[in-house]
Amino acid sequence: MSRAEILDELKKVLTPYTENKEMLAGITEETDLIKDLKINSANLVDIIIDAESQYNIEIDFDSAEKMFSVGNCIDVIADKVNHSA
Amino acid sequence: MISIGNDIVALGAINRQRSNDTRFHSKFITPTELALYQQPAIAAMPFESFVWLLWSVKEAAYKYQKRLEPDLIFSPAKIVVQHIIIPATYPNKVIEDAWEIDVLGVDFIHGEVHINTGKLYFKSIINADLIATVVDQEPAFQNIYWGIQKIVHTDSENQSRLVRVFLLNKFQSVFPQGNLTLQKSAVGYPVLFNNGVETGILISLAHHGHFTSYCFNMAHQVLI
Repeated sequence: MSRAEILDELKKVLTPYTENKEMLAGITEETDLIKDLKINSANLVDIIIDAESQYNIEIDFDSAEKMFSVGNCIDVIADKVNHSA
Repeated sequence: MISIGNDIVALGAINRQRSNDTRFHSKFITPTELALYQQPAIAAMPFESFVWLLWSVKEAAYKYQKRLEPDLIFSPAKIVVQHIIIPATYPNKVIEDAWEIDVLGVDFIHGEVHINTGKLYFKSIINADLIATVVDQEPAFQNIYWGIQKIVHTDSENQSRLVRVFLLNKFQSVFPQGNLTLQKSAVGYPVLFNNGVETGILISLAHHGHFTSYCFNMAHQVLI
């Protein structure tokens, strides 16, 4: 799965948790989930659980703490997807 | 060096079913923390309230520590709640539209939380609508002021604006002749200026759903 494909799927995961749909459409790897997309930190675990379901992976404590920007999310998901492939 | 941190969870904005799912709460609750729920006084609260109480304490502790360690990353599983004490007289507090809390009162859920090598103390309120927490480095919570406000519109811009208005209204009595403004530090916490001069008052803000909350530490200033 390429980074662009993961990014595309990630937008679907993030959609329920951001009201800033315009920014979501144009997210880049530098986009910060809380500062830019205004996602409430109380939803960070929801995003991890939804990403696990979306990609059929398991995201552990250490990986989860890295998922604060879109690029970091793609790093973690790509790593898990490739290891389970 | 002192700091401050708070958090608020609007229970109307959380997914109760998911909160009870092991797959969810095991992402940030450690086995030793989960064992706290075996204590009868704690088990009297709904499990989802326990889950979000822990989240709230961890988030508040992180905000406290982030001011001291700007490079700190939020790792809720590494911020560990050690004790939770629920007073026998703990009331189911009703939050009016705006509420200022006497944090020195004894009827709070309280306890200890460890972050990195440090120990912090927390006080929390739980009722049917929300869970709110403030942390401090001393168990006495001297000089801490805490307010909670109910708001109508839950969009993040409105939450962010109204919590600042709520806080600045509180400070009008402290600086009646002042021109107060809030700016965000590079790390992300709010900084209060009076007539363009930084006041040095430590502030933490939080919002979620229909609730916002401020807390501040006036250790070196006088609240009129």
